[in-house]
Amino acid sequence: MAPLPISDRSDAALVRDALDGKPEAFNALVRRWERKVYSYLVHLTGQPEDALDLCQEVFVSAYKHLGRLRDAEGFRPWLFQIAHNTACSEMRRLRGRQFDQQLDVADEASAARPPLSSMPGNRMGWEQGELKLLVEKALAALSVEQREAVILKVYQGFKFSEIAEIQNCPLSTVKTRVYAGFEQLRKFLEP
Amino acid sequence: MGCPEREARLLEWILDELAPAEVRELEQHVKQCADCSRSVERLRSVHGALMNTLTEREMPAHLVFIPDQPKQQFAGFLTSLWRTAALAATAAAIFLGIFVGGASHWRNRLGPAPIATAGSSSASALSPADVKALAAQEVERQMAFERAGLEASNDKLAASLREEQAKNLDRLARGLEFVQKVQNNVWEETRKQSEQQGEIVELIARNSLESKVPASGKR
Repeated sequence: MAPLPISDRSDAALVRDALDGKPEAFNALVRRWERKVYSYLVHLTGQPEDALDLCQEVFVSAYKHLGRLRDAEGFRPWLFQIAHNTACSEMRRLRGRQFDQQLDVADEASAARPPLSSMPGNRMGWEQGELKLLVEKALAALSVEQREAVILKVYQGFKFSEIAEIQNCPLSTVKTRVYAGFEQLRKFLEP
Repeated sequence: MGCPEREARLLEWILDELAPAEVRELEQHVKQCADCSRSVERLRSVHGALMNTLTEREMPAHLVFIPDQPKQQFAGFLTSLWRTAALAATAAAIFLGIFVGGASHWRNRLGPAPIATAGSSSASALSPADVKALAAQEVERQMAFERAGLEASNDKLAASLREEQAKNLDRLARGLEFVQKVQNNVWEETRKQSEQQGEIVELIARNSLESKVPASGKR
């Protein structure tokens, strides 16, 4: 039977091919997931200029440790676990700068916050760009763990159980983080 | 609503974490409870605002993985060793030997294979021209692989089309044969009928002639 074109193959099949020494299979995984990983890193760190280097680091690490992936079906959460570790290391390295920046952003955002009722899709019309900026600021004011849990849930669509694996914490902690993140965002955005 | 547990469940509902039975139960409750209904509206507003904001970002450059054949083969060798339970003991002995005998040598060989950002030189110690050339090679290799896959699919499709065409032609030929047989039968039948008609006409004519002969004889 003829093989499927590489772009149609599942993650698990590509992982198995990559482990069998087919570099084009690993490249297909890179092509498939690089934008998702990059966007996750941009949203989490708020540093688009560093995100590409971090993204590269994630895939180098994934390649090096691919043999340790126990279940090829679980490639996606495993890849984001690596992205999480990479981002955490980077943020630890930049802790001082990051912390100061977060406080600045939070202060700025609180001063300029509009009521949620004025957002598009609610009652009055705010420009899409302005709303995005506002939510970005509100997200930056969350703790890193809460922000990450919200990003993994809302943007990446992971299940709570997968987020628990990525963040290496109990399921109940993930639920608390997402819930607290939503609560804080709601309070932040409401009058 | 003053009930954080219920509010947490409402959020789980919005985030698609509940089983269908739980969803039905909550839907019923929300229809009857104004507080919960307001909570759902608020949570949906926040969720919608997040969905609008947390979108996919455009990458300034794409990543290209540049394989290093010897390392790759060795990696394959490693995984196959670890996968085979029967060889686990041998692997342990070999690894012990490797680590005791030449750890530094293997560490060098097992270093990460470079991943280069297309059009950038930051990925490794290679020069920008090398990275560009390797990236181009890799793109070419992948295209060749894709082409091979597509060609194989095309060949298979063409073979199945040929087979289908042959079957259709065969069916058509058998159909024509059948139609011809039916036509022949019809012609045969028509010929017999016209022969019979001819015989009948001849018989009638003969009868008519016979009936006229005695009459003229009387005259």
